[in-house]
Amino acid sequence: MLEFIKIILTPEFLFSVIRVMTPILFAALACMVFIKGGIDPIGIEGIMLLASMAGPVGGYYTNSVIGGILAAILISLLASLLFGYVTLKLKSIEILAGIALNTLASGLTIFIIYYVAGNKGSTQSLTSKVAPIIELKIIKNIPYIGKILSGHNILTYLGIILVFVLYYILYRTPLGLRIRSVGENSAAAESVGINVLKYKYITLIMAGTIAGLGGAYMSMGYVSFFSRGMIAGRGFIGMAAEAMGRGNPYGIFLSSALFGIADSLATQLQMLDFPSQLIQTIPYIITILGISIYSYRHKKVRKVI
Amino acid sequence: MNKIRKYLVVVLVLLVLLTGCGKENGNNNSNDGSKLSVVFVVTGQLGDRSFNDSAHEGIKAMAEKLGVETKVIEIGRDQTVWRPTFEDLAEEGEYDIIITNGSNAGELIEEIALEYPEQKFILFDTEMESEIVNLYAISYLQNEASYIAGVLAALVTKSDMEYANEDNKIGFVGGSEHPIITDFLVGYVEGAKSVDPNITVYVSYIGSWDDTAKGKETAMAQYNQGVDIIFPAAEQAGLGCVEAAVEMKKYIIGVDSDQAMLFKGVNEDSANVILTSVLKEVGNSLVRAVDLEQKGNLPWGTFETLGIKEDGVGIARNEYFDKNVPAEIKEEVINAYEQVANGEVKVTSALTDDSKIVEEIIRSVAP
Repeated sequence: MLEFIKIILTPEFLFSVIRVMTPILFAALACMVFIKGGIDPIGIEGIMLLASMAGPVGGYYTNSVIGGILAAILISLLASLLFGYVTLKLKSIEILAGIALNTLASGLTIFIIYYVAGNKGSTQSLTSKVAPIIELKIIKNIPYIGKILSGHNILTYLGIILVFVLYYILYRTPLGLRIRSVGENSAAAESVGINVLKYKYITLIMAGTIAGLGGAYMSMGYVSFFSRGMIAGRGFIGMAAEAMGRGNPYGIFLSSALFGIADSLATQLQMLDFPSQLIQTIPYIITILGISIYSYRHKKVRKVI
Repeated sequence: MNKIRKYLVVVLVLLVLLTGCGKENGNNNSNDGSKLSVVFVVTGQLGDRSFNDSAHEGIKAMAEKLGVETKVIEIGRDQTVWRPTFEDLAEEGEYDIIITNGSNAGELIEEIALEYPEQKFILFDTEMESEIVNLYAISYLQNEASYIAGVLAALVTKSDMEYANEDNKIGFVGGSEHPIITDFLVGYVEGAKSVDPNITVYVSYIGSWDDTAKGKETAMAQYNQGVDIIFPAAEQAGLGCVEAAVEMKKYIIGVDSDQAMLFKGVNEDSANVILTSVLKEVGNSLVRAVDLEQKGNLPWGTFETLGIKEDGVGIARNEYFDKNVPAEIKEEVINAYEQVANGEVKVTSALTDDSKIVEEIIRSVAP
């Protein structure tokens, strides 16, 4: 037990929580925007996978980090808009279109990396472009805290900044109000003269960009290459984090952090001779607990009203 | 909701139909009776730089050296398409032998082999308990090669090599708990203990064979505990461990394929942290099996266990091993190699020995 507490209090552990949290945060924020605009986020996994493939490939062809990140954003925008076109214009069912998108992504990414890198497993044969690590000037020198907060990937900081930016956009601007009203009741929004389709597409563009950044982080920050299936459910966990965060950017930040803690904890505890099967269930138990607590409180609130 | 259900049914029916059509439509000239023809069904994808790729090398060598007609089909990890694919292949009977990975598809193949007695199957990396006359299986004594890896790891962590620290801690990372992975582990632990009985071995499981990021996270957690060399047996997810080693300036022992050589010329940093690789010579063993079949000597209906002595397993002695491992460590490693090969050292196996003994060995070095 002492050993366990010692590990948890190390700055390395808390640093790793932030690292693990980042892709989940991006996924959850993208899901949040999707849901706010009234679009089902089930395709998030596939969109992020496509982006994580496009990052290293784009970086290789343009020979720059920016080029890679732009390629990741571009392809996830395309995937997101394709999803929008199929569901909004062609009126197909969102769940099916989302599942189709995820399936397409898992096959297409392998096809493309085989074409580009000559290997169906990963893009390690391409010279890797990695988004830079940022040392925070003053915070870096604070003992203990500096070691936790400084030295993360630039995309991690971007994700945290996005929490505030998105809160501002969604709750403090006319654009955000329209997106939310379209999502909550599109008929009502239409009746007051809001162009529903336009705001749905804006939602798709915003969410696609965020998902693209999350995908880029996986292959250009977390690790330095794309490998097949590397999102490994983080998009879906993002959906759960969104639900747990009650659709609020700050809540989502906290729930993503909770997932980060659960996941890092699982990694650490394993080394201390706990049964690994049990430990690997921790993140899922936390999901169930979180959602239960959320719905319990929700129920109480409704009763009061 | 009803509408969704209707659509779902349509999609499912389409999926089944399309998968059914997805079989290889035959070029009929492949089986003119004179040439042996084999098909390697990859349950997963090539490009794992590990197990499947090693088998693929063997298939290529067969075509070249033995003049066998070969074909490779990748069917992915979706197990729902496995049965129809194998059944189609067996029913068409276009290939004399179907080769596939038995640790994934073993039970399925046993069923299909009974259904189609005319079709011959070779499974690698599995032990077959029932005696099916059209089935031959190869299993590998990965514990023997892992023993050598353990010897190397224990010597490295004690040494004054550049990235080695003072702690006598080494690490093992598995994809998930699986008898074969435990077999790797128990050999590794025994090898390490033969050098230093008081060594500590950290053991973690990624919980995935694909998640490279989690692999990296898991390895970094161990390195942060003072581990300086990790042996990951986690297929593709192990690539994340290699990256952790490069970043944190630590060592890795590769697995299944000669991983350092795969990085040669592509990523020298990665190649240099991989001191050696524990090899399952899947390719060699398949060539050996098909060669025996051509001569009519392959013992169908049995399984064979290949160890260091039969060159079924080994460790990679490549240029990076030569360059990065100090001479005195190399000498001791080669000594251990010979001891195992000539039977002086008997390595415990998680597959055949009592599981209590195995667990005791693994526990004895836990932190």
